[in-house]
Amino acid sequence: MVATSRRKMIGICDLPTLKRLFTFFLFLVWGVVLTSCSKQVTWPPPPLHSAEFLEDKSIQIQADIYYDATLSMQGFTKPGIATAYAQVLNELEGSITSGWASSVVRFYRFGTKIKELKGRDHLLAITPKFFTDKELLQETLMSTVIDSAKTQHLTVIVTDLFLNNADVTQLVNKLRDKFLARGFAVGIIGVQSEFAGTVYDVGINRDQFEYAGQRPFYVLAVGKHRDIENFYLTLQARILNRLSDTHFLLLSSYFSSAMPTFENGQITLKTDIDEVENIFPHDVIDHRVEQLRIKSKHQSSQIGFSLSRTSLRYAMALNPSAIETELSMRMVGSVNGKDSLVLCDNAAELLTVNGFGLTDSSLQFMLSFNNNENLSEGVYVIQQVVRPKPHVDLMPTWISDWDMDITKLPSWKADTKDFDGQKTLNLKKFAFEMWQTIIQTQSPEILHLFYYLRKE
Amino acid sequence: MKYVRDISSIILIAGVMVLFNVFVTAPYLYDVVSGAPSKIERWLETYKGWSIYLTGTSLVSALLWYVLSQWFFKLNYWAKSGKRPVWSLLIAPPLLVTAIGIVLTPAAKEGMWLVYFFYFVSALIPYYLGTALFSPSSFKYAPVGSQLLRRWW
Repeated sequence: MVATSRRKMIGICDLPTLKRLFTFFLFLVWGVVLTSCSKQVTWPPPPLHSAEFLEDKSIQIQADIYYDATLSMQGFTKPGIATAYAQVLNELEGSITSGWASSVVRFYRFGTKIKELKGRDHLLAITPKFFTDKELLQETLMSTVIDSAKTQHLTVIVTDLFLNNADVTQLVNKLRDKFLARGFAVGIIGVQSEFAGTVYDVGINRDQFEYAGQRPFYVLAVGKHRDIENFYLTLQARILNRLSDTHFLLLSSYFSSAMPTFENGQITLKTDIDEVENIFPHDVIDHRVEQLRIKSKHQSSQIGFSLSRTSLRYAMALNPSAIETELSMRMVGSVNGKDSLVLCDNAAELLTVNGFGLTDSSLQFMLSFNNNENLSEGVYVIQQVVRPKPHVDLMPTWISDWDMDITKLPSWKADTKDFDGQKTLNLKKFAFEMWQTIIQTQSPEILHLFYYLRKE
Repeated sequence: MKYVRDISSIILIAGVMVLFNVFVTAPYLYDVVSGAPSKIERWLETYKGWSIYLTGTSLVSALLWYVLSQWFFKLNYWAKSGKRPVWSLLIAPPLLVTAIGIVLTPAAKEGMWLVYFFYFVSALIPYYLGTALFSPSSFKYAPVGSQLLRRWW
């Protein structure tokens, strides 16, 4: 009996037994191969989002340059033709023609109404007699300029931007309806120039002050983000970099040259969560999506990211306190026999994003999954959108510095020498309302990412 | 031509080991390992790579043993041939590569002991089974334990 069992034990090495052993082994491996190839739920990448692309500058451009021909602008021409005002105006046309391979430029002057400037008449805009047309010089109706502007063109407006409250509202509304709601941007180039003349329409009673000294004028540009940027860069190279006090702000829904993705990102922290790549169908790559796995035994999980970004140089400067995150979570489920996404109502308690850091070159944050036990097994699609918060003042300091403090009006009236002509009425209000309008109409995004999560 | 069958069998064992690692241990580790520094699938590629290196080294050692014992060692009686130390020495390369693999495999937070175990298995099994089952007749009892495995073969 003992001998038989020993023989059985030892006899595994005779040749027929070995063959059987190998056959068994091969069947075992084949079985495991079939098991390991069993179908797991996959989900395709999300559709592309138009806000993710910043359009290139136009190949050819049609530009309309509007000169404010009201009397309040005349003071910029009296100190002579060597002023910053004159130098900038002399380079406007050149900035268009040298900034694009093909261009058409038309000139207009405006005030109470708009008149086209024929031939080389626009060259007179740096002389006092340009501001003597009685049909124009009464009121600066910039809203009429917006009415006549064409959305396919780059619209450039030279003005002192001296607007009362009603003017601001009317102008912003016109810009919203015609340009901002359609994704266009507005650039504000501010230049301090020599001035000697009368400043009109100060305050609610439209007071006037004689003023001599530095006073800002503005070149507003309305059009596509890249066209405005190119116009500014060309103008800067031609003249602005030789002037002492100039600034530029580009109000647009774009903040970085490309929407940050996980492609050049780093994981800064990973706790009880794994990166995987099997939720996408085979061979599919989309850097907007991070594929993750959480195991049932882990109560909570965290993953931190540091993504690279290249902030647009003249765009609104953002900071972590001025941005907000929207998270939505959907589970891949079967509806009428087809896989589809079912919204999870409890995303807010399951997911949090914190630890936001934002610089010109990077963006950091941490995604936390709380109470994993409340997450049933399956595949989830999580969408994260980061936007600028509304009603947060992100204006650059020069906007505040150049904004006129109208509460000082009584003291200016008491002593006109105190009049602060270096400032612009309602500059900050105009810029801020434009920014708010962009937030409302264009819903700008700083980040638009997805997480595909497999809970096992 | 018995040596052709033996060498083929040694290679077959190593091949089965590779398949076993690619199709059995790797998918198993996908479920077990957590906290890898990279994507799990990429990490598993590293694991598969090292397990193939280990099996390959083990195969080379086993074939070297076979070649030495078939064509180079002289023998009158196996127990007095003193070749077991050579057999023991040839297990060193797979073990050395195992140690290198353990050091160079990026550590995951969970499941690493199992990974190290599979590395040892990948390094030892092809050499041990290959030599214990298919050493030339003159040296068939040199591998430890082969007296039990090859008593009637």
